[in-house]
Parts: sequence; C-alpha cells; structure tokens
Amino acid sequence: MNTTLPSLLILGTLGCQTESTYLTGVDLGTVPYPDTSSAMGIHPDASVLDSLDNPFRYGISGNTKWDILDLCLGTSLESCVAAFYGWATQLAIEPIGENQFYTAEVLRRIFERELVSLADLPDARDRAIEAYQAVLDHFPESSSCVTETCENRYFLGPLAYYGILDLGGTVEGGWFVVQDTDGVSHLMRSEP
Amino acid sequence: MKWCLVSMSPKATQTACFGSAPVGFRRLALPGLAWTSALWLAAGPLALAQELEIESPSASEEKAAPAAPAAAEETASKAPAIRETEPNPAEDSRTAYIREDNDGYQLIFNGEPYFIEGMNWGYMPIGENYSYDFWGKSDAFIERVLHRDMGLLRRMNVNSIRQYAVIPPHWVTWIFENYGISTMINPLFGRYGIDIDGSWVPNVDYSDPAIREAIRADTMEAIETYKDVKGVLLWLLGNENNYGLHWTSFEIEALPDASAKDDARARHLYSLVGEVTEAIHAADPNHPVAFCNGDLQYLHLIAEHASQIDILASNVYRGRSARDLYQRVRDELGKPILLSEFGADAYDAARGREDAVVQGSYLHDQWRELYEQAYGKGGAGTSLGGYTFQWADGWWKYLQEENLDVHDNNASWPNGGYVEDYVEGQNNMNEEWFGICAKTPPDSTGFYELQCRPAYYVLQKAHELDATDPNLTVDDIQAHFSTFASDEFDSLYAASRSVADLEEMKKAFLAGGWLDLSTFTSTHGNADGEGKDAYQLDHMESFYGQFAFQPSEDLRAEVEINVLGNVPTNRIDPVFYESRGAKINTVNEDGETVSLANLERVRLYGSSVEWTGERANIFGYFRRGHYHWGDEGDFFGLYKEAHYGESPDTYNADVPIGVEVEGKGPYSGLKLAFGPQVYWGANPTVFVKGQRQLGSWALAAVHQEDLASPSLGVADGSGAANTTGNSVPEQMTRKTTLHGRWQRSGLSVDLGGIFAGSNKIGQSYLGMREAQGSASYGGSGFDVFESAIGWKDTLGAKGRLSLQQGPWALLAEGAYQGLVADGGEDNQLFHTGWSLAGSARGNHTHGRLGFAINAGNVQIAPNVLYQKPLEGALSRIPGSLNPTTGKYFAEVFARDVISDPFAVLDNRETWGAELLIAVDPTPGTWMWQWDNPYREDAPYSFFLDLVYRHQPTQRDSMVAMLENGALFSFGEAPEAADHWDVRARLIRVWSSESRGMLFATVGQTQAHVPDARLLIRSSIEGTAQLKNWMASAAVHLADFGPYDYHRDFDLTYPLQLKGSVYRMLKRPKPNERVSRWGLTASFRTLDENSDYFELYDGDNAPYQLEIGTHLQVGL
Repeated sequence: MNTTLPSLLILGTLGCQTESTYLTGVDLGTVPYPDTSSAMGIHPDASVLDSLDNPFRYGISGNTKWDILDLCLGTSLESCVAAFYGWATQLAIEPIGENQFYTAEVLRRIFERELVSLADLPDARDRAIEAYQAVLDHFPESSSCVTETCENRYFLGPLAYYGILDLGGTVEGGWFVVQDTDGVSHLMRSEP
Repeated sequence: MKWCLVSMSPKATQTACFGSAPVGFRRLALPGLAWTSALWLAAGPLALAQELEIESPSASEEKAAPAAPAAAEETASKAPAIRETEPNPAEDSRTAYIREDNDGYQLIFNGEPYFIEGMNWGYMPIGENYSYDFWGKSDAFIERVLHRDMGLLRRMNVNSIRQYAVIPPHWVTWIFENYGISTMINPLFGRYGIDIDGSWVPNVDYSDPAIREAIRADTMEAIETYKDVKGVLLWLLGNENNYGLHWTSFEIEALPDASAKDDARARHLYSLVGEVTEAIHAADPNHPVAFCNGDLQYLHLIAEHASQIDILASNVYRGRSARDLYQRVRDELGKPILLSEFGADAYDAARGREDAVVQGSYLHDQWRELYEQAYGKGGAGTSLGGYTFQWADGWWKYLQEENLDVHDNNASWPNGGYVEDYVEGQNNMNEEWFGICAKTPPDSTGFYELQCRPAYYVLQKAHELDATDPNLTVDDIQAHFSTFASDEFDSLYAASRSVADLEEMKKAFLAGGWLDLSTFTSTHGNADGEGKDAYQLDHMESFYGQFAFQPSEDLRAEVEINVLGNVPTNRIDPVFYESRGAKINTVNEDGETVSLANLERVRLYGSSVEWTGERANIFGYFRRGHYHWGDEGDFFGLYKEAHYGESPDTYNADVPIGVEVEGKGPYSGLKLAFGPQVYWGANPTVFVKGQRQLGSWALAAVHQEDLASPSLGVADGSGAANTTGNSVPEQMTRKTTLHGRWQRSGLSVDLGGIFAGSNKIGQSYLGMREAQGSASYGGSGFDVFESAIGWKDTLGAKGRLSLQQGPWALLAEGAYQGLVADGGEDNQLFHTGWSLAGSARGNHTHGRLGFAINAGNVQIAPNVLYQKPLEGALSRIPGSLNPTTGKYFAEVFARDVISDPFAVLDNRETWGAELLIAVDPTPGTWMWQWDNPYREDAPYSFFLDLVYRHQPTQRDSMVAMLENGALFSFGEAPEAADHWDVRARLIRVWSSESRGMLFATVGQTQAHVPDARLLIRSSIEGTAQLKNWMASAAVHLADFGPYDYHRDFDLTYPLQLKGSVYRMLKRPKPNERVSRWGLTASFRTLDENSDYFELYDGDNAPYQLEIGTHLQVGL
C-alpha cells in the first residue's frame, strides 16, 4: 500500500494513458467473421456484446437491424457478416425468436453465398443450423411480421425447421412439422 | 489407556470411562504403624504445624461452637487415657493418623484432632458427562471455579473434600493453602475395571493374580504421587467395590449357594485390600488408609481379611439414621468409620417435584448422628465424620450419555429409608438431584452458577459445631441441632433460584412484538382494475415477533419474524411489506386460472448479533441498520450509512446484510466489514479500515474489495425483491483511501487521497465533443471518440477546511476524482444542515465554500458549489447506416453505471448556491440531528433552505428496473435543466407532551426517463401530537407517487392527500412501534401521467381513495 500509491501516481503522470481514437464509422464490408470457437449468435450466448469486432457492441437502434438485413439480402453481400453481428447483438439484448431466426438466416446466406473464407464456411453452416435449432428449442412459438401492422404474421418455428433440413442438418429434440388442411405448417414435438 | 469409574452414588450400577492414565509406583520400605501420643496432643500441634509450614484451617477461621473452646492445656489435662500403647514421639511427625482410646477414635491431622466435615465435591457443567476433564482446563478457569466453590464450602464450614486420584497434586495444596480444605485421595482400586498389559478389563476378578498385581500397582502409583503433597488427609481405596463382585470361576461355581459364592468373591477383594493397605503403610506412614465399602456388607470378612485398614469408609443411604452402624463397626471391626457418601436427594419422586426442604432435613438428622457418634460423646465413638453426597446436581447421571441437558427426574432405585417419597414397588432415589446446590447451564466459558438449597444452610449451621471439643456433649449437639431446621432456609433457595431462573429467561425471551389488525376500504379494486367502480373492503393481519437470545453476557442475538394473516389486494399503493403474501392468479399447464395463496406467510423480518469480545466486537446485521465510518477516517464515504427506515419493507429488500468487526485493545482502530450487501446496492464486498494517531494528525486508511457482482443476481431479474432503480449495484470495484485530519482550536483540516477502480483499467468508453469541422459522427454534430481507462483515472484527492470561531463558521472543500475514482457518499454534517454538496462519485472536480453566521437564535448560512465532470455525459446519437459508403455509425447511448466504467449522474456540471436560515433557541438539541423532531425542546424552531442549481449540461442515463426485476438503462437522459428547491421545517413544542411539526417543500425536478418533464412539485406535511393523540396530514401537488418507479417513469398525481389520526398508548420514540388505534385516509386524483390511469381511462375526474382502520398492539 505504502509503495503502490506513489508508484501509480508516477505511472499516471508519465502519461500511461490510452490514446483516444475518434470514430469515423465502421466499414461494414470489412468486419471479420467471429472466432469459430465461440457460440456467438446462439441463444443464450451473449459474448457478441464483448466482441471488439462487433460494430454494434454499444447497442443497435430499432430499425438498423432491418436496414442492414436489407443490405445483406440485396446487393451489398459484403455486409452480411456485419448483419450477423447486428442480429446477434439484438438477440443478446432482446432474446426473442425473431432475433434468433434472422441471425440464422444471415448465417445461412453467408454460407450459401460463400461470403467468408473457405476455412470459415463449415462454421457458418454449422452455426446457422445451431441458430435454427435454438429457435426450435427456445422460441418455438415465435413469429414475425412483414409490416408494422403485422397483418401477415408468420410463424418462425416451421421455417427454422426447414432451414435446418435445407442445410443438410438434423433436427434435434423431436421436432417435426405438420401441415393443416389450409396448407399452414405447424411445429410439433413428439413426446420424449 | 482408558480408566473407568462410576459416579460416587448410592447405587453404582453403570460404568463410565474416561481417558486418564494410571500413574506408576515405587515400592518403599515398611514403616511402623501409626498411633497417637498424649504428649504430642499437649504440645505438638503448633510445633508440627510450624515445622511443616501448615496453616491450620481452624487457626485461620474459628468456628462458632456452642461450648467455649477449651485451652490446649485444659484439653491435655482432660485427655483420656491411652488404651493400647504408650506414646511414641516418632508419631508426632505423621501428618494424619488415628488415635484410639476408651472414648473412641479420633483422626489427628497436622497434630490436631480433626472431625471430617466433608463434601463429595466435583465440577461438572450441564451437558457434560464423565468424559469432562475439569482438571485439564486452564489454570485461570480452574482457579475461578475453585475460588467460588471452595469459598462457598469454607463458608459452610466444610473442611475436607473427596477427590479421585486424578486431581493434579498442586491443586490439592492450592485448595488447602487457600481455603484450609484437605483432600481425601481416592484411588478406585479397580472398581470400574483395570488395565492389564494395555487391555482394559471391566469386570474385575479379584482372585486373578494378574489383576491383583495391577490393582496394587495402580494404587501404589497414586500413593507415590500424592504422599508428600501438602493437603492430603488420607487414602480412600475403592468405591463400594463389594457391589461389583460379579466374576465367575470354577472355584466360585463349585460353591453350593449364592451367599457362599458372594462370600468367596468378597474374600478375594478384602484380602487384596489388606495386602495393599500393608504396602501403603510401608510406603507412606503419614496418612491413614480407609476402604470404601458399600454399607456394612461383608463386615465380618473385612474384619477377617482387611484388618490392616485404619478406617472403614462406607457409602451409607439408610435414611435419617444409620442406626446400629457406628456400634457394629466398633464391635465387629474395632475400627473407626467415616461416611464416604451419605445424604438425600432433593426430588420427591412420589409427587414429581423438587423438594429441597426434605433433603435438608435428612442431612440435618444424618449429621447430628455423625456428631453424636463421634469421639467422646458417649456413643459408639467411631464416627470420624463424613463426606456429604454431593456438592451439586449431576445432570448426567441418569443414562450417563443421553439427555445430558435434561435434569432427569427418573428415580433409579428404591429405598425405604427415605419415607417421604417411598412407595412400595417404585423407585424413589433420584440420582441427578443429590446436589446441595442446584446449577445453571454454563456460560460460553463453561462456568455455571450455583443456587444453594436449604441443605447448604443446614450444613453451615451443623458444621458450626466443633466435634473435637472435648467439652461438647451429646446434649449440646442435640440442643444445637434443635435451633435450626431445613424449612427455614427454603426462602433463601427460592430467591436464589428465582434469580437464576430470571437469568435463564434472559437467554431467550420475547423482546418485542407488533400486531397489526387493519382494514382497507378503497376504490382501487384489484391489480387488474376489477372493482374500481365500487368500494371494496379488505383486511390485513400481520404479526411481528421479536425474539432475543443471550447465551452469555457478551453475546446477544435477536431475530424478528413476520407472520401474515390475510393480505389485502385493494390498496391503492399495492406494494408493501406484507404484499409478498398477496394472492396471485396464474395459469397452469391446462390453461386454467389458478389462484396462488399462502405465499411466504412467515418471513424473517430482521436479525442481528452482537458479540463483545476482549479483542474485538462483532456485529452481524440482517435488515438492521448500521452507521457510516465518516467520522472515523472514511473521508470518501466508502462504507455507507445503512438506515433506510421503511424503504426495505416496501421493496421486501434483504438489506443491509453483513458483519462488522471492531478491534479492541491492541487492535483498536481496526475495523472490518463484509457481507452480501452491506448497504443497499452494494456488491458482495469487504471493507478494512485502520486508524492511527501520528503526532497531531489522525491518519486512516480504508480499503474496499468487491468480491462478486452483481449483487444477488439482480441483473437477470432474480433479485427483484432486493433492489429498486435507486439502489442499483454498480460494477465491481476496488477502492483504497487515505485520510489525515489535523485539528486545533476550532480549525480542522482534512486531506485525503483515493485510488479506486483499478480493476476497470483497460475498459473502453466513449466520449464526445462538439464537432470542430463540418464532418461529425454520423452527421450528429459531435465528434465521438473511444478511449480506455488508465491509471490516472483511478486517482483522486480531496481537501476540506472547517473553521469555527465564535459566531462564525466556515467550510471550504475541493476535490478532484478521476473517471473511476468513485467514493461512496458523504454523510457528515458540518456546522449546519446544508443540502448542497459536491458529489462523492468519480469523474468530477468540485469546489465548495460555505459560511454560517450565528446571531442570537438565528443562523444564516450561505453555501456555493461549483462542480464539473472530467468527461461529460453522452448525448444519444441514433445509429445510422450510409448505404452509399457502407459505413455504419453505431448508435451512441448515454452511459450508465452497469455497462460503462463511469457515468455522469450527481457529478454533473453544477453551479449551485444555497441560503439556509435557521432559528433554533436551544442548539443543544441540534436541529439537524436525525431524531430532532422527537427531541427538540425549543418552543419554536425553524429553518428555510433555498437552493438553486444551474445545470448547463445533461447527465448520463439512469438505470431502472422492470417489473420482473431486470435492470435496464434508459440509454439517454432528459434535457439539461436548472433546478431550484425550497425546504422549510417548523417545530412547535407546546409542552413535553404536545408538539407539532410542519415540513414543506417546493421545487423543480425531473424523472429518469429521457422525455421527463421539468416538474414543479410541492408538498406540505404536518404532524401534531397532543398527549396520546397524534394526527398527521400531507398534501402533495404534482408530485411523484410513493415508489421509486414513479420517479423512474415520470408518474405523478395532480393531488395527493393523506391523513391519519391515532390514539396511542404513549408517545412513541423514533422508530418505536407503540400500541395504538386509529384511522388513515389516502386520496389522490389521476391524470394521464399517473400510475394506473389506464384503469380509469374515460372516467370523469378519476381519483383513488383508501380509508384504513387500524388496531395495532406493540410490545
């Protein structure tokens, strides 16, 4: 104690402060794919909030996630990795099925369009399958809407189910989908 | 090696073992037999006593005998003729021996006739048994016990005690030298088993040569240990060994009947007694040898095989009289007798109650007979005295290993000699009730208190007799014993017992209670708004029981329990302590609505532990307040005050909870505090404080180390019941402060430094500046930068100068605290009750200057403050995506104390000014003391406080709590605004029984939500107390509701009225709950800014009304 404080005072006065960096916006096309060992983007993992690669780690406003999704689904494919961070951030902040589903959707696009290095592609596929599976396991009743008035509500469980199959994955947990007479898909689960 | 024994009891049937090794022995040459000398009788005692440096007990404490003591010369002239032998001068050197003549037998001890007025003494706390090792305790403890017990024994004229051969020799001497009480040493002679080559043989066969040799060796080892020990009176071999003859052998089994078999076994016992007695005489000619027989069983065999003994000792339980015992011993054995045990129990087995009077009456008669049968009294002349059984109750004796804390009243054996409680076919001898004294449970050191039964006083009177006085006659004895009876001492015992019982009751008692029976009639309806259109009545029953435990004077614990009856669901303020038990409707798996009642009907309301030690005091608290350390060197207020009034009740918060340790003696100045939440919102943490005086400086250091975060899981909502938005646990931290105070004649200077938040070094944070050029962050007009916490940000310093000179007082203060150099809160008041003060939080610098000018009863105290954060608050900038450049400008939120290493809150930029005017004719009852409204004694006292805060910039975001307890940040703060506040208080004291208080506020404030309004709210609260009546009223205009979330979310009511009238049992002290009954009423109007307004949407002039009736009984 007696020596620590003076030492620290000296260190402080010697200017051992971190330099400030002015922020000029993040180029979303250059965001690196996350560490493949993490469970980022899979509920309940929230490590995305601590990731320095995440341009949204300080938060993401309401419409930004949709804007960036539009970019990814449109012509700005290079922004899809950033879109992943955006939706994963939103998922960590607000764990609902919609955020989990579109995290999976972005990952699927990354895989299908080969938007990351070949080394990371298997991870993108596996992560997408896990994200879909998380929709089934944690948010099986979740739904989303196309418009703000939500007159075209659609359920995300069946979509996640088919997403796994489309990617060649295996649905875990006894989930299956049935169609009613109107052709509407319903997510069901067999008794364990 | 195990050594076993049974209690010295009337009927020893159970063996008990303890680990004490027998001592070794040496065989010595045989000396001559002991006998007496008339010449020595006349002149020897004094010379011998001087030679041996023995202080005669009777010399230091004269006894009051009914007959005048005779002079030594007279005694010599009246001494009877020696019957058998001529005097032998060599005998004079013996410590103790038996003198025999025609008048009987006398024990001579240290040259003087010695009548044994003995006691079977031992020390055994309740809850212990035979394994208790009293002599293994510390010398200090043993001395404490001996001083008490030997003092009592000495005062009752006891002159000898019986002890097994385990008492350390130096204590024998200590007892003798300090209290003149001799000790009869009692080797057990294989009574409860013997060790043979390392194996314990519990059933002793006295015919077995190996066992006989082992017993001899064991006994002689004891003789060698004690024979030269000052204070030893005589040897007592065994303890009713004739009751333990149970072995079988071919020799025994060949005998024709049980009697012959018993005799055969007994012959082996007594022949061994004779042999060992001879060996003892050879080794130690200075002490006579007695054998402890059970009554007079096998007396003929003793005479035949153990005639070497000097004394027959016997445990005798024959009732009031031993009848022919004394004469038979003379006639059939030709030896004196001492009663090694006798007495009576103090429990009436027939009636199932204690009867200490009868016990005393038995001892009265038994001792009278002992005196009557003593030397020269015309009787058998064989009585040498006896050892009363026993000193204190033995709570362990029944079952010996079970129910040790129970004073068992099961009688163990029948005895028709004790006629008062004898019933044919039933036991009447209660082993655990033979004590001359009762005892209390021990304290933490193992020490217990004694309550002397009537028997104590009977013996005290009985032993006033000097049986060795040759002039004492049987008539004298009978006359003396006729002067007192046991029953006349019963009141003494009853008083002593009552005191002890009261002391016991202090160890666990009902310390307080509060019963609340209330009804509430309201327009609120339930939480869903049902019933809001009609008056609903509900009721509440709530009981608080406060129990205290005080196992010793230095340790006290207190717990308070709340028990619920019905919990009303119609209250307009639905969150209160009892509401935890309100009925909840939920939906089960089948989709059915289920009502959950009976939730948490019983809850620990609070508790505390206070332990006063020699080196430290310990204070443990759970929902009990504690003070800050600001006056003891905690200059930056790390250890916050934790007196919250009713707030923790409202939120069912288990705060504060922790332990304080305060050093004493060599550790004075040291303090330690730790706990899960030592103040509301604290993380699990530990505080250490050291304080020293160095010259004219008082120096102190405080360190705080958070151990975990967040506190009690509030971040995930699981701690919902433990916090509010105003007590949010912040990030884990580590803080160290140094403080020095210099004082002289009204001037004090405080200097301090803080080093805090070093665990946050490296954490990144955002800052912003107004953009200097055309480009800005996302077009916001601000440049945003990212930086990280460094060492410099952990440091801070503060200085304060306080001066009091006559009517003038001054306070000047300046502080610089780095971004994360957070203090706690400053609870200290200087000179007056200023409310404008600098922040204790980091990330700011401030300067403050205040004056207080006293003129008569009036004080005028201006105070100014300048404060500015080092790094300003963040304005919220919405995130934006530039589709053209593909650049994303992440959203910028205002900081908060959970997500960011620091924030701008009460450390916001402030230019403040305050004018405080106070009128207090009696400053002895200081106006700013927390309990002043209760204690103020001036007819009028008054203050008016005007405060203006110019706040040109925003603060950062507050944190609020959702209904499920999850914490969240608003992400931005309301617009910057200046605030003014006016506070005023008037106390009017009409008499000591009547007073009134008025407290008024009006001022500006803002809620925590980003779009909060700038409110002007006002309130007036008044209380009048007229003798036992108390009336209160409060008016609030445009004010927040009662809960923190009202302030968080900007929920106000246009008008709030509250009133109450109570009739009280007495005038309540602060925080005291007194018995009372009365009425309460709450009324408030609602608008679109009000909580629950949606329930009344569409109503014309919506309002809520609640009327309560209360009957509350407090203890």
